[in-house]
Amino acid sequence: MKHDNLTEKALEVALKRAAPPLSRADKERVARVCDGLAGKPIERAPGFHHALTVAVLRVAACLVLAGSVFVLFKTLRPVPVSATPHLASIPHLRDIETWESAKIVTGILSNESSNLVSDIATLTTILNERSLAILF
Amino acid sequence: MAIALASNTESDLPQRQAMKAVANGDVQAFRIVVEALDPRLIRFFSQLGVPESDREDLFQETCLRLYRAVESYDPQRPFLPWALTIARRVMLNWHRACKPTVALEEADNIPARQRSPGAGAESDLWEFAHACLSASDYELLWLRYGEDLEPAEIAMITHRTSVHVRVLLHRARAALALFLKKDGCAHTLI
Repeated sequence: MKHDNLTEKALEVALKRAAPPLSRADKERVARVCDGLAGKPIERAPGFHHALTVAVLRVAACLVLAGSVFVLFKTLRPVPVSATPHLASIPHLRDIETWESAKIVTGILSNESSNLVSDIATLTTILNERSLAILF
Repeated sequence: MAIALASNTESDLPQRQAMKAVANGDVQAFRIVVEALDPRLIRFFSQLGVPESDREDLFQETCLRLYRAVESYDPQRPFLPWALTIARRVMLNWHRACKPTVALEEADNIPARQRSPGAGAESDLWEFAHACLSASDYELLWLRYGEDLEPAEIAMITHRTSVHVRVLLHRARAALALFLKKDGCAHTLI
């Protein structure tokens, strides 16, 4: 390990020593470059106006982004679905236990069915009468 | 005598003052910058594989960019890394734009660049490194030991983090040491 460090250090020294030395500046080349630069414009550093424009652009971009996110959330929000549609005419199954007895239920249902049967019979009779009255 | 231009803030003071003067309208002060950069950038381009015929063009382009961007330079910051950053970009653009000029059938006749850095021929070490290492590793080694820049300054030039540069430098040194060892030339450096 010690030998490796020594080698690395020696390599660093050798690389520094092996770097070609700087030559003199070529006066003709310098003159050519300076002549070539004569009359060239300097790019003005961005001033206050530029900074203001950038700031306004950033604010505008933030507003657009926020608006897009708002619209996105608005459209993608799931419509809340109520747990179970409440229909007053349909008794809940859990209410069955609260009923007093099966007998009462049977009585109520049989009454309802007999009422329905009589209603249907009445309706059929009336329909028959009316339709026959049209024919004859 | 060539104007020394090092990365520390004391020795590049004339260049920083000249850049400030150019920004304030004294265009003639830019000659100081050009004179200081001439040997440094010509050697930089030469070491990184730019042929002699193109070095002056790249130097001129770099100076033009430095001149144009003079107002964006902060005189509180070191001058050389900033100049080398621009020079490197110019060189990379040139590398992308230039096309191979040697036909494939003639390529075999070109002698290999790799030469062993024999005893007493330390200047061949960079040539050997250029032939053995990747362009990226070689560039980092050159910026560190050729231009004598700190890893933080190299990081700024190459758009890497300082830690990344240190790691890459370590790997490049290790690779070069391995190649030297394989070539039997390691003993000449100790």
